Amino acid sequence: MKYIDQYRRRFLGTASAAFTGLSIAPGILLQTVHAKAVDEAVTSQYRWGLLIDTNLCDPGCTDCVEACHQENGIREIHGPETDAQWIRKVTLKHKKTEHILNMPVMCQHCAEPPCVDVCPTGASFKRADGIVLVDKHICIGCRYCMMACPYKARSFIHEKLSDQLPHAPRGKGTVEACTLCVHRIDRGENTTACTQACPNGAMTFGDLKDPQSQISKKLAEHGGRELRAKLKLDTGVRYQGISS
Amino acid sequence: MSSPRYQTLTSSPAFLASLIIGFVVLGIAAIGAFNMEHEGHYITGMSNQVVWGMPHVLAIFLIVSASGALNIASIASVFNKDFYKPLARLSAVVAIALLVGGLAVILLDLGRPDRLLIAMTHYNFRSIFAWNIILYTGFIGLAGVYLWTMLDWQMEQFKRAAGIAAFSWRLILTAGTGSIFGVLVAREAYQIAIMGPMFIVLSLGYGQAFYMIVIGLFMDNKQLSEVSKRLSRLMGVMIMCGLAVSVIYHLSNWFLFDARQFELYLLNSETIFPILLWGIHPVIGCILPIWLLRSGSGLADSQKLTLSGILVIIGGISQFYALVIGGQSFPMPLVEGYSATSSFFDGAIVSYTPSLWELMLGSGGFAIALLLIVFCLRLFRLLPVSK
Amino acid sequence: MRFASFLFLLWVIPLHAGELTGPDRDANGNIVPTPKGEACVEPAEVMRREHMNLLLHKRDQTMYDGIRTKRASLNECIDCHVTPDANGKTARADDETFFCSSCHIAASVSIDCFDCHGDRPLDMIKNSGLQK
Ligand code: SF4
Ligand code: SF4
Repeated sequence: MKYIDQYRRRFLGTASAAFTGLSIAPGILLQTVHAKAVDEAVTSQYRWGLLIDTNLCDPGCTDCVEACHQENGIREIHGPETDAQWIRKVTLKHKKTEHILNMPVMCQHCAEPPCVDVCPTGASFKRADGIVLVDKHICIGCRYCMMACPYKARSFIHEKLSDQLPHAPRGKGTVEACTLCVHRIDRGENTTACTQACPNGAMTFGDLKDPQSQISKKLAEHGGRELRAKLKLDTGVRYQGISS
Repeated sequence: MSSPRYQTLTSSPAFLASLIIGFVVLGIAAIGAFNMEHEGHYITGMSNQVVWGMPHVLAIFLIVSASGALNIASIASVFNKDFYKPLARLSAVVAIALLVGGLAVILLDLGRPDRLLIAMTHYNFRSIFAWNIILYTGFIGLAGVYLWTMLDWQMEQFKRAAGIAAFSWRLILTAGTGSIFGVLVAREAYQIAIMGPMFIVLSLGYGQAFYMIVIGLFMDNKQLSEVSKRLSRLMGVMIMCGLAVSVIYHLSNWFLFDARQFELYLLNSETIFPILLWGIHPVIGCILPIWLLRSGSGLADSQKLTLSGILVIIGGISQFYALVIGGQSFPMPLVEGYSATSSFFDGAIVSYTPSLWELMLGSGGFAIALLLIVFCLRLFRLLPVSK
Repeated sequence: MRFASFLFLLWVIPLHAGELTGPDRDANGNIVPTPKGEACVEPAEVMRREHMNLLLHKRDQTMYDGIRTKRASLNECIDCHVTPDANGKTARADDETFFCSSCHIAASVSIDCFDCHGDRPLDMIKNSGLQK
């Protein structure tokens, strides 16, 4: 059975990724910068991530959200309660100082993703390069992953859809979330729709395992914090400019 | 002690009425399920914020009750109490029926119920949910074998072993069901240390409540008068234990897990939850049935048992509603020290109102359980004959 | 399950083989849009029997390994086999005249690919104004 092989390989892949360690500190890893060839399988040589500088994120601007939803064919249907939102703009207000911060929040592409742990069928999975996806072919729509995700990153499709985009299949009764523009990454593009759309350059996309990448350099310089870091999920999306 | 004799159910009015009600409700549930399936979940009250709604409340309640319903049989075989032995067969049947009813509701609420086959063939063994699927199927099998050892005298020798196996399994199963919530580290409402044990204790009372309704409806009066006193006393103890563990749950949230904002939301806010948790659950679901079972106020035994069973179940459903819906509608913190707002209801308390479709689907679980019980009562000798 | 449907197709396809040989008609005698390209990735014989396996293999490669080559990709099938008629309209997945459905309806083998995958090429979605 071909599928079993895939499953096994996926499992081994995850195991070895965990083994290799996911340190994002600059290290002695020597890597070539160019992306994989189109017919090559993804490997744990990369770990893709995003760095978001909340200081640069404008209040009221939703360019990244619109770009994402345009890119992935997400349209308004029955209202905000049930419509999918792969990325959303969150406004934070400090409870004491009333300091205001703005930032986009999407799937954090956790290295230890609770959504993957709880998924009964294995539909939620982490690719070798750290991108967390839903295999909608085997998702049964139980929504347990949505219960488990600490960031409310996932959406359930509440109605029949049509005219999905070729690179972004989505359908009724299954769960989905930000794919980190996986179709672009597989094409070798070193960016995501949201990153590209931000007028202030508040978002940086890149390989967390490559110490020479822009994202690693910025992280090394100014640090970056995980949302709900206490849960120790080792997220692939990091934030700058949040003081406690 | 002479071995008890058993009889099948006759075509009593209660039998016919149960059949009719069972099938009507089942039909209504089918319409609800079909419509939800056809249209998608937007026609329900569920959303991307409250992802598990009324069907889950009812289904989880049924599943937890199922394991508790086996309790009467366990007292008889595992703890060797002769008094309960004649009551054991029925207890196993009620347990299986409730579990099947609950599972049917969970299944039909899936986004893709057509993928049952995938759910049965693809297992992620790190998922407590996947383990529960195995636990549930195993429970139906074990309780079935146990029932067989009770029905077939040639199997008599295996009865105790089967009883012990089923009893141990049901403990794991109930703890497993609690852990479905317990493992959700993201949410304050659910802590692994308390969810499993709490579900086990709660299951005892709720399972017995269903059992009492069944015997109240179908057991003849003479036989009932022999058992009702002991069962009533047992029920009283179970209800009190359930209430105690519920108090412990809230106290530990408050003192141990620092989930005070959440507790205030559940117990002191302008939502439905304080009504459920201060009113319906303790008063209608605990005090009233205990009073009813003790004093009885001139009701027949059958009426007492059935009525108090129904009250306990109403209380139980209220409690589960607060637990499941309350736990989801309360916002999760995103960054400590900050309050959050967004287009996706960050930082906001979300409202949930179950739609008619969900209620229809959920009631189907009860109908399936009722029909299964009635069929088994008619087919097998489950009801003890009074000496 | 898959094997059963495969056997069933083996049985059904010869039944309708006569009707299938004409270029434009499907099993039901409905007009099937002419594909855009010159030849399929495999001979028609092979495709009839193996398309599901090719697609499944490709599906898992894409999903788990990120291999997005064109061969045996469902998107390529759609680009080639879903073509507009004189009015610029295409058959939709549920229609009997839709390329996949023309056979699958006749063989009563239901597929759920189009629950999630769009049933027409990107150009046409763009033309309909749904996408920029
Ligand atoms: S953010 Fe949520 S959906 Fe994304 S990987 Fe983490 S747990 Fe899963
Ligand atoms: S909804 Fe789908 S992806 Fe999420 S846990 Fe259930 S089967 Fe897995």
